[in-house]
Amino acid sequence: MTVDQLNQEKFLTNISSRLGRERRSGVKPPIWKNKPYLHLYEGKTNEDLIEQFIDNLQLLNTNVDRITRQEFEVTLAKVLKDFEVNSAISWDNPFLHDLDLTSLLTTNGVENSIWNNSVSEDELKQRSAKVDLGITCADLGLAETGTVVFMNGEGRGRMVSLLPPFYLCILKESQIVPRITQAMEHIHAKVPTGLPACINFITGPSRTADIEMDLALGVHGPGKVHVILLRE
Amino acid sequence: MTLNSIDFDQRVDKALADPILKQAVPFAQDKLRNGRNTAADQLGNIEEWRELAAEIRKHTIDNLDSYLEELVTNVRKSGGFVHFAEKDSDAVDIIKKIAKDKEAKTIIKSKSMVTEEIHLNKHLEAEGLKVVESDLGEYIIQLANETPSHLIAPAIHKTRQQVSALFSEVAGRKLSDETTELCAFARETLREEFLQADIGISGCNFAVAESGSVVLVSNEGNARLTTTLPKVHIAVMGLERIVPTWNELDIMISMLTRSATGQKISVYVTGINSARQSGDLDGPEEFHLVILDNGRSNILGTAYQEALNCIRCGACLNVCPVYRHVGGHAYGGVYSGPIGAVLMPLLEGYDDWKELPHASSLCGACTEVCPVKIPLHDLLIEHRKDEVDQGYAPLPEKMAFKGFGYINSHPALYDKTVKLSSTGLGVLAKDGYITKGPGMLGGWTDIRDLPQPKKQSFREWWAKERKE
Ligand code: SF4
Repeated sequence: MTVDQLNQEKFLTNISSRLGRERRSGVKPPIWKNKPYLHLYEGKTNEDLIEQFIDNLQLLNTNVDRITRQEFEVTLAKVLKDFEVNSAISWDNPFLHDLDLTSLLTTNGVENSIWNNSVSEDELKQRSAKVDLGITCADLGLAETGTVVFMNGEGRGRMVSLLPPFYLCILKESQIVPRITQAMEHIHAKVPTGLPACINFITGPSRTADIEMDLALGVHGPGKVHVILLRE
Repeated sequence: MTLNSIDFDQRVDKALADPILKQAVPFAQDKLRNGRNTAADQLGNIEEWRELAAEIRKHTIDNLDSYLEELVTNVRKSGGFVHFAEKDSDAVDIIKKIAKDKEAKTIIKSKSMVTEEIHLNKHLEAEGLKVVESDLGEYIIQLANETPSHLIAPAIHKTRQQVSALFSEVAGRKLSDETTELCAFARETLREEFLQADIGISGCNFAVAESGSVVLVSNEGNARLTTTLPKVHIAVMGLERIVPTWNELDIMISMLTRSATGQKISVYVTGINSARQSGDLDGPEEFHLVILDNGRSNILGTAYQEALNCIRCGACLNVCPVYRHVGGHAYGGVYSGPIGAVLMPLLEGYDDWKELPHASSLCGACTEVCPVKIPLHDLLIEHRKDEVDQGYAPLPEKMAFKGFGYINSHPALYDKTVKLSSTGLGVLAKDGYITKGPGMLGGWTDIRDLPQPKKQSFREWWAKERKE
């Protein structure tokens, strides 16, 4: 046994002896009978959930444009103008490419970069820290909280939704689920095949109340967040 | 830390004489507590949630060795390094060694009570390392050279003028006391630190055994920056901070943020499952998990085991009438309020912390609000009994009983601090007396015989208690 293993054995055996029993291994949680969250969404239609998602984000200073694919070009232009965006970085992702995102950004006079290894890592970091806007898509939207959920990974840099002062997330209506429960099930199901290095749940702009309980936005993460929800 | 009863008295006196605390603590308490109550009302069935959360915590702690083993096996499987630390000094040594191996110069931290507990910053600074706290509240108290006074809002005892003075000194120019300007300054200053830090140190709200993940909850985004920008990420967790699978995490997160601030979810919930993987162009290259015991395992199998169920939401602080009057620092330990009064003597012994179990009116509001149903006031009574059994002076026993009398004889205060926090479910009977809890009944026969004090201020009550 290595020192580390010995340490571990000592540590865990101490726990079991404090608990007054032999060591246990491979315990699995029971199936919890109590499901206190069910009543929060039972009987809700997809339309209800979408509205709930939008309402929740609005309460958090985050507007949602619910639009068709055809309206995307106009909506994006408006968002870029409203938030005075001159530069952006976005994920290297098929969903975003299908929306023609980079060429639309360019048409709107926005200098933009894509998160891939066409430039150095350091350059990606510098750009993320400098640009006005970060753009990503998401895996899920949670109605009960107004949360977007995504796995990071290749082409899906973490910094894109983190360093710029303004963050835009684009997702489809069909990605909206009732609550965190479904997101956790989704992640749980992926455990056997391995999770990416990082999973993020984002709900509105970065906030703090650490100075006299006074709310302020954007202390570390983006202070402005906008969501585009595509109808199908 | 060596403390004695004089120190405790002095800390309380100091707190009571502080006009800022007198305003700031009740203000923050009310805000956080009202948020929590609204969130609980919105759920509509908060008792069922608490029941399930408590069940999950109990199952997890009862099988802690198994879940920890599963956790560390999975952390290693995905390339992470695991370190077990029996004592605070072990954890400090482990982290110092990583810093040395990596030739680190600067360390950025996101809020972590467990690193406060092991006084990590002080030790790292003694090694010549630059350590920067990045949570706004933690940054403020680091500049002020103080300790957190609340689990969730570490700097509630500082005014904006004080913050402005601290930041102005760093800036080398006079800043206004506007929240937006102060936050913008912090963003800019700390962003620079983030971009060049060698190591990021975070706490761990929950570790997920099934995938070897560390989950961090934050509103500011500093936990994300801490775990994304530096080349090395070290997460430090208390050994109890674990859930079996992501499914249990659902319930714990749902309860944590609602109980802490009333938010349905925090702005960021971040799952760190490994160091960067192939194809990733950001994220740390190395991930270390430090698992700390530091007295926790001694609590297992004792009457106090449920204290390990705590998810550090701070809700018990926000309803506590004693915390309301004295704030966090008067307790003297890293953990304050009802959970601090239960934990500090367990982690560090009665010699230094015997007064804390008496810094409670036993009104039961903490127990009623706790999302994982820790019977906090029962555990405080248990401590009082244990103290007597172990030969500690019974004097404070009287003090606390009358303390309850004080609160109880001031219906307005009582209403404010207790009834508002009540979800109307159980602990309080309609006459305002507490009727639930086996420990309470024992304590109550004694309390009821004591004469109720006449109207007096908390300060007068305190002065009198000390003399007796
Ligand atoms: S004891 Fe309960 S209420 Fe207090 S901080 Fe811990 S979990 Fe929250």
